[in-house]
Amino acid sequence: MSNVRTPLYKVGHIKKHFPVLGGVLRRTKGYVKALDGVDLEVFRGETISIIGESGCGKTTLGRILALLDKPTDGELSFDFGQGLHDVTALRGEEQMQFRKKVQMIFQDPYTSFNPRQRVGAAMDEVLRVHGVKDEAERSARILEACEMVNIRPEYLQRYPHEFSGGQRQRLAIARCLATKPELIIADEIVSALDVSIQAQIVNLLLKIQKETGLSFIFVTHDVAVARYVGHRVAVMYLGNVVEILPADSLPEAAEHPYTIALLSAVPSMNPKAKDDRVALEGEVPSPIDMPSGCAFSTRCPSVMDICRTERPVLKISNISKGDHQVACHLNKGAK
Amino acid sequence: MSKKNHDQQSTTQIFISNFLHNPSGVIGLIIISTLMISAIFAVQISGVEPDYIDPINSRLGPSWDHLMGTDQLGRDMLSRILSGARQSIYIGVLASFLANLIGTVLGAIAGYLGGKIDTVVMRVSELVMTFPQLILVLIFVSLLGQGINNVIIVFALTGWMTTFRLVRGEFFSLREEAFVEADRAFGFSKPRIIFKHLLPNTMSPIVVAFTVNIAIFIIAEAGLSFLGLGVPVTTPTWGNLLTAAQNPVVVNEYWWLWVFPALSIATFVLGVNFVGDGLRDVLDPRHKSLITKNKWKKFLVGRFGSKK
Amino acid sequence: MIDATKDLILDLKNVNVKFKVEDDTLHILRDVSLSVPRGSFLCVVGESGCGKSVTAQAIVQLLPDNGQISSGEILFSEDNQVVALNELEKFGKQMRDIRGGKIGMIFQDTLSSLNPAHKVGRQVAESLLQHFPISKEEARTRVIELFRKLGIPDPERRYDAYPHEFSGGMRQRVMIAIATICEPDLVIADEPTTALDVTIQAQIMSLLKELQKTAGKSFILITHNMALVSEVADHVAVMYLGRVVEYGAVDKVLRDPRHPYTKALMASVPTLDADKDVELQTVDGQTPSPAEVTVGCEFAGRCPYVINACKEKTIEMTQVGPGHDVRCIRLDSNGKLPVLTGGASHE
Repeated sequence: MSNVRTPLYKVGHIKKHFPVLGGVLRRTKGYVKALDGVDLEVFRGETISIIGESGCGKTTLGRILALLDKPTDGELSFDFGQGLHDVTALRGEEQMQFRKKVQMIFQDPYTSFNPRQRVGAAMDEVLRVHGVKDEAERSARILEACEMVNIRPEYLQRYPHEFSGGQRQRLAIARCLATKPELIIADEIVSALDVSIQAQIVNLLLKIQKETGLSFIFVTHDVAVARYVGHRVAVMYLGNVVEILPADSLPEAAEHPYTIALLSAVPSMNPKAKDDRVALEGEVPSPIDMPSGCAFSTRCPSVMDICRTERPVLKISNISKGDHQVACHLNKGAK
Repeated sequence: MSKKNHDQQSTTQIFISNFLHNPSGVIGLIIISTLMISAIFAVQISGVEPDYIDPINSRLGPSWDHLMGTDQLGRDMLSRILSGARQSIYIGVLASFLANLIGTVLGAIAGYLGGKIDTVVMRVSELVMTFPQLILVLIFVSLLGQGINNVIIVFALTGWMTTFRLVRGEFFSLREEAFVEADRAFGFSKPRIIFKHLLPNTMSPIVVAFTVNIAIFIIAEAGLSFLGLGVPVTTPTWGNLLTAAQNPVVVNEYWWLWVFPALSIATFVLGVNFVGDGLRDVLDPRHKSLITKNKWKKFLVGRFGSKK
Repeated sequence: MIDATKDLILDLKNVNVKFKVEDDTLHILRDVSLSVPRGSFLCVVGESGCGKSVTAQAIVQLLPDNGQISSGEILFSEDNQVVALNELEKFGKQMRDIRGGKIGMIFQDTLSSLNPAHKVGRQVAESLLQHFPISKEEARTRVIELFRKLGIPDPERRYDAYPHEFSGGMRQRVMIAIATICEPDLVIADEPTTALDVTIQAQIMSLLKELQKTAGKSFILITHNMALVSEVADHVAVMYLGRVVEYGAVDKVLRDPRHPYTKALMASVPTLDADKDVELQTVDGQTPSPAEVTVGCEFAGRCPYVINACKEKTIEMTQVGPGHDVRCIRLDSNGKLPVLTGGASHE
């Protein structure tokens, strides 16, 4: 894949800082830097998996990308068809245009539908709000979406509580598909499901992508699923993207020490994997007292002096070149 | 409850049928409907107009002709109590409805929007709440004058705070739910989210508050009218029938003049409370069969928590 | 079954558990037989609704009020004596001595298993003081020592901290401390790392394995994560709808799964080296409620190998190899499943 294409969605140095209020006068004591300068590009027709452990900011990133939250700093640009257009300041009708193209599916299947609304009516309402005035067209779109996710049309009369977790996620996917988006942000959508149901949903997503050419941002903490689902994988740690690489090249091509440690921590059927395990000491530092320099410097087994003072930036990998970027001082590549 | 049609039953239908199986609710329903029907047919039941003056038969104790006796002007007490019921119930229901309306709208807006709007409305509600209620009512009454509709307005203006807090609290927790986030991600407008999505999910506490307030306002009206500040005596209400009890002679010798109005109030309020209890039971999410069809799974999730 | 001559610390024989839910009686555990040789690590694997957590609760008699062990035996070997745990009174002295003292338990949800109003050190010490006649100071010393061993930094100060001041991984270490402070011979852990990051999970698991190696403790780990099982377990039991469907040494069961459900489970989880051109295997439909399946194989409704005989009567375990048992009638004389041609389809 050549890098000369224009991305569908460009994330430019996004920061999200939450003020920490303290004391009697509720002054700002400090900031929780949930996102501290995230750069990312999502292309048409691709799935990019975002992985990371708790506190890395992946969920915050997903919400900002869906415009559910405003970034503290940085740019978001989306290609509506005539090149990239800034979307952070969109309001009203223009924002609605964005919302038609970018959809989100949430982690908890049990609360993502209004419990008092029949699921078919819920989907119909979304289409009406998006301006699909003709009732016949709305029905057609909904039926088409349901067919793609394997939900029988007669079930549309039911209430959310009558469905299982896996079915509800499929309904959530159908609800998004009916609006004919270009990008779907899936935030940990399989984490709350049994593994055999996860497999159903994963297969479904792959099938949808093959048939519609949609782009997906797949946020997860499960590294193996991220690799399986995505074309590329972006690894996050403490509010930064530390590595982006093609999914197929995992796990061998991983370069960033955190990525390597993360991959090696995944339990494996391979008996040798345990011996190669990189044991990470300690815990993730608090995002309030961020270490200066590289966020991973406090736990990195390959830490150098420069790591503690200077924050590394994402640069193309010197080893694998191509579509592989690392934010690490060990990578002496050119931008 | 037929399991066959469970799929097709809406949450409302399930709830209604659950309510009809709840002993507390059914008893309460019987009590208040009996009273309300009797109130409508006051004249037919008692056989006489409530203001038919018959001085010869004044101050008679209960008898077959006058089941609840007669007052100092010979008016039939049964007839007066039953037609008084009309006014009292009318006041209780309408005042509760209006108070709930105000509380709900304010609670919804403050609860969803938060921030400055919430702070302002909260302070107003606290102000009204901490002001001694009786004085507040007296002030309003002296400004507006007496009369049934004024009493209703006064109650609505001083009684909305509990519902307001209730709805506000519900909205605070509900607005974090995934389906609200989904609505925002779909570009739904704030009014749509507040009124079409969040409000229906808060109906349970609102309905319960509604029934509770009916009881509260009926008693409040009784107190007010007893003091001569509520509805003037020309229109009988349970409350102003009780003004008769201001006279110690009446209290001792003509007991039927105040015991029956008091009993009516107590019975109706009891009935309303029973209905409220029934509603609370039925609307409790842990109540059986309201939420999940697959009750075993729900049970396990409730017991052991993890979905894995 | 496991070689009967081995020294077993725990032996479940044909345990059945029933729950009363509203007017129905649900058969939650169906004829469960498991054995744990002393010093070994058993994993009980399955998805939601399979009964793995209920098994753990049944062992220590912590079933909810509407549940009871309707038949079977739970034999626990303590001090050269064998005690039938199911016959002990639920809150009687003997059972209370065993719970926490001889059998330790680690739960999944640390936030609700720890009392938020009490200091953490005290909660661990409490467990110790319940079972041993020692002084408070002595208890405190031992707890701090255990904290240190479990990798809790600054243990003297942390002794006086509250649960909410700890991260998830640290809280789980506290739970392990509570479970092991009395040096029980058997530790039952119910999904202890499901809510934790994978790097923390690796730390916790290596801690548990350490305890097994150095202190000779026996473990029962309940999980849904097959890969984890392959790393830590000596033996594994796969459960579905209350029944053990496959059981044996971990390298046998995971490398050569025989039961259709075990096979499907293994094939539905992508590994780090999964071939992306191969679709993940799924199982049609979802786990039924126990009330829906009363006769025949529990998995029949979703099994691709099903035939009519599967639904007719209870399937027994057959041994397909030394220490490897499978509950399936479709296995041939070599213990292998037939090749699917058209295959049955459901839903």
